Amino acid sequence: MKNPGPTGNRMTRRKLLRASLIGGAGVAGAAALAGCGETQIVEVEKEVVVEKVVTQVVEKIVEVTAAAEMKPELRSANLRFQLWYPTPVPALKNIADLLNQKYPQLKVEVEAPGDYWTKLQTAIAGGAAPDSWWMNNVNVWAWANKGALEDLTPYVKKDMQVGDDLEQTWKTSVDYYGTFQGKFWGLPSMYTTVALTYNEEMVTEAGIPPLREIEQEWTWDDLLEIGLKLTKKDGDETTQFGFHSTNGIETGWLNWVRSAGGDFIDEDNRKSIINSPEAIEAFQYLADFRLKHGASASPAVLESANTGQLFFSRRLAIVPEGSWRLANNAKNQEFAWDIVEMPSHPRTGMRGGTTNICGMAMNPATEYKDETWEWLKFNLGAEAQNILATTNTLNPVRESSGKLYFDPAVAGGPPNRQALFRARDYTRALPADPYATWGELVKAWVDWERKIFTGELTVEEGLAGMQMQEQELLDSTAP
Amino acid sequence: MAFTTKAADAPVRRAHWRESKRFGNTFKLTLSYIVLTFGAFLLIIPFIWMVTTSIKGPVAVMQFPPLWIPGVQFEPLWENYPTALLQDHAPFGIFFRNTFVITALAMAGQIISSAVVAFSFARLRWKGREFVFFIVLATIMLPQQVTLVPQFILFRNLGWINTFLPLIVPFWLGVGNAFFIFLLRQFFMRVPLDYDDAARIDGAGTFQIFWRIVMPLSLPALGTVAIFSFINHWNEFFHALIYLNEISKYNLALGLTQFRGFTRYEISAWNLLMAASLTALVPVLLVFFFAQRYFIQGIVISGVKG
Amino acid sequence: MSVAGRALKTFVDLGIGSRTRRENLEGWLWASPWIIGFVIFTAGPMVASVYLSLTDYPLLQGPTFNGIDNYKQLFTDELILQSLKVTTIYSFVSIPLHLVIGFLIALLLNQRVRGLSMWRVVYYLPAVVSGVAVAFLWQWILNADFGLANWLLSLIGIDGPSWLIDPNWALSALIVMSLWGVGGGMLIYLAGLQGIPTSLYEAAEIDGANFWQKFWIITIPMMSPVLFFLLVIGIIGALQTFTQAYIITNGGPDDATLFFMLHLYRNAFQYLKMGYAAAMAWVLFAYIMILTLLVFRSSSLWVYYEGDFKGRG
Repeated sequence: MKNPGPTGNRMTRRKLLRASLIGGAGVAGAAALAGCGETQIVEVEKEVVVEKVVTQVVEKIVEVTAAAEMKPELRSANLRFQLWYPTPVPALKNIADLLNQKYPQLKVEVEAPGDYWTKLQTAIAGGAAPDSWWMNNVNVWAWANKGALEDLTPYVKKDMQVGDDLEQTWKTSVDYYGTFQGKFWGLPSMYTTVALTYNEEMVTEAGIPPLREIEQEWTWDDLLEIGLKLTKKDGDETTQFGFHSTNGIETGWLNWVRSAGGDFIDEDNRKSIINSPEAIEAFQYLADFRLKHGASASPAVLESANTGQLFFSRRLAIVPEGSWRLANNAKNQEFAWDIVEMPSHPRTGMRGGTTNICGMAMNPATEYKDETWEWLKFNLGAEAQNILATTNTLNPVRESSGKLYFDPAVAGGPPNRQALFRARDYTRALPADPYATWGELVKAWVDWERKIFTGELTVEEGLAGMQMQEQELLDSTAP
Repeated sequence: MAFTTKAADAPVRRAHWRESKRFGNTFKLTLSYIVLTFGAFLLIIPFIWMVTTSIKGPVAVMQFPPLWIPGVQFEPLWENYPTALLQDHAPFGIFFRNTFVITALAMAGQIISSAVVAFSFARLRWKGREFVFFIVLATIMLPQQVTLVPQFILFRNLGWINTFLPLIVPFWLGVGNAFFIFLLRQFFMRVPLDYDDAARIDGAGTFQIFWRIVMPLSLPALGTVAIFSFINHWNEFFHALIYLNEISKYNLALGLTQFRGFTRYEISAWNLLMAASLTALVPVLLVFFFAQRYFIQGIVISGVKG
Repeated sequence: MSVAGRALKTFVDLGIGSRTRRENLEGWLWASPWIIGFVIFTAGPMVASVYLSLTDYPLLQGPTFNGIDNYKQLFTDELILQSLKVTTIYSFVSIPLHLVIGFLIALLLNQRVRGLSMWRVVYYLPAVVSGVAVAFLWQWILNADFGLANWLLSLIGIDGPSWLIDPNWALSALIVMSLWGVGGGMLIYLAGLQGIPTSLYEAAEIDGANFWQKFWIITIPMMSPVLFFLLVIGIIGALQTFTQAYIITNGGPDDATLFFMLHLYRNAFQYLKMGYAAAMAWVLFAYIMILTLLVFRSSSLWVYYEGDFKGRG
């Protein structure tokens, strides 16, 4: 994690603050205040103080900013913002309120409509889309290519504060939003990382040490052994699933394929390589948990209880989950649970990981471009990012806020919360294609995946089919 | 094939079949009641299942065989209703209000325009009437999908996307009204034409005839139109899905899809989903129970029976 | 054809009549809400749809004319075939089931049973409720492990299938769901049955006709117009099925419930291929037209109209 020296920044920003007070240059003023906030938080963080203090600090910043002068060039606007799942809505509403206190003329409505991607496209097509919305790294390029996103490069260039903010942002996330065709198609906001969630009681009961203690050296073989040990059966029927191996691409197979040294699409994002020997090995390993050992729940079981339910009703011991589950899982106080990093591959010695990077994009058709920009930018600032961290919403892209997020003392949650941060070392983004949207990519593999994990096809057959259909899609969408 | 009643021994036969009929009838009726009761059981049990699920706790929901008797087999959780209906990402009160507004306005348009147009077909004589009426009937056969894409583009160009207008305005202008026009025309034609003539002699204009004679005499038929129109608009999903993009503008049908959030991202909560779904159905059920006769009337009026 | 011809003839006949200009004007005026709506929302869009179906129209950009490319592509699109197959199977299984079961219910109710109004409510109620709420209800009923359907089956010793997640069962599941509304045609049947003069039955009984003979010789022919009406309405409705497929299975698993309308919706609003979607709509239109035409054509063989005695033996 890189952390630019706060002192230097503070100096320049104080100067800017003075300048802004004299000249009334709003943009610079805002930048300065956000900067001050951050340095204060960094100090607080050193003392490892809990949420409350952070919130107080944030409130203090708000008081200061609220007193700041109105930006004369911003019009009064009711902006609409949409995202695809409801968990972050309260935090984002909170951020919108802060923005409103800073600029009383700006109001932002935040909502998470179901069937997000289709409905959003329909709205864009109908000329009634929100002013800004969430993108993810798997869609942002394809959408940019379709002309559905505003090019933000001019705003980034003329806005000094964002330049500073971006420097303090996780670089991978900036790359996905700020380098395609050399332009900015959104500002990164949050991202996900993946780890295994496990029931510590079950583990202890089986005479296994807490997994976080063997985290550093454990491999696929260890997971297999432990997973089977934690599987309980009543005749043919599994009453306790040891390890949920079939959990989709994001929290499932792609992590293992990468750990084995393979991947889904090659580095140029134009070639499907999912039928490699590495991928076959990974899929076989995962399929065996369900088909050979009955250690992973079948689709029939999952129809009535998702993995979260299985886990919290003590029917599942280990499940791969993304950081977006933390907030919900934290509600469970019934038994001790924790998270642990993915095991490494015995031969390659690598672990695998995936991340989905969420960013905020602007509607090219919005009437309120400057006002929307203010909202996007505000979300990258320290105040907003700290709110994401302290409310346990999702990994904030701003590195200093990330420190708060991954700290169990601040954000709560499992003791080994840092595993989600360490996962970043071997995490790569989910596959993105410049032309095919995520929905199209998913459609091309999902039936093959199902057939492999129900045993309808062998892993080799299934992956050969998957590779072929993906490649057809990539070829057909390229111009 | 001709049946004759002129047979000489008719009275004898008649007595014979009456007797055998009585026994046969008792047997047949008993059997019918058994079959009917079984069928009714199958049709009603989903409603009961919906109600019991909606007041179960998360553990009781996942019991097999299912638990049926609240208070005995499981504790009824009435707070599921407030929990389900007071979700931030699915503001049920707003969905209700929107549905009410859309339904009321679309219904009003549909009733008024159907009545006016049916009046023209039933009571006015004009060149081209039969031909236009034939086209009206032909549109019953026309799948709405044929016009879906251009209509979407039309509404976009009018700037009507994400407003209630696409769900209301077409019904003021007769879209989807063909069956209602047909039904009202049948009914209007039963009102004796003498009334019109008498009124005209008294100096009444066409509007007076429509408003003071035909409409008051056709209230039952209008009731039927109102009921069917209400149900159609209350349940409207496809057009809402396409035209409404903001949660605060969703109608109930579309708003309910927000509850899938429970099953997709959160822990699945069939109990809450059932509570919300049942609440959305309540107005339709109420209307059905209180206005049953209009359903039956509709069938009789339309003369569909042949 | 004959209906159209008759209508045209009437039209001409009426035209000759001595209608005053004022009367004509008034008639058109009163009919104008429908006529205006027809032009704006139906006829106009239909014409536009013909043009759009000949364009590549990604909607974010404008339409570009590409001839019959869309139609050519339609014939090579496997998913189009799949969606036509799904829609056809659904229609061909569910419509006859509806017709037959609905008819049976009406027959049972038509024998002066006690509490007719109560039975009517019970059987008609499920047909009144519909839409998203009902789709959710059935998604839960058809749940493999905890659902009502498999509980009922378990009572008679059957181990129910994984209705919604097994590609071999998913379409059947939606057909079963549709049968819940089987009472929808009941009121129409009942009205029809009550319209059959009892004298016909009495006469037949005197001639010694048994139950089945009466049924085949009187009831069925007399009811054939009702069956015909419900068949046509059923076809049009079934071919436009959308909500269940969208809510419950979203076309899956393995495209087993990819109804034509769902596929059209996806092309239009998910892939934003408006031109292609317009072409799809015309394919559906043609399909419905062919089916209804077949039904109409065949109707002279099996639909019996009162006053139409001369054609029958």
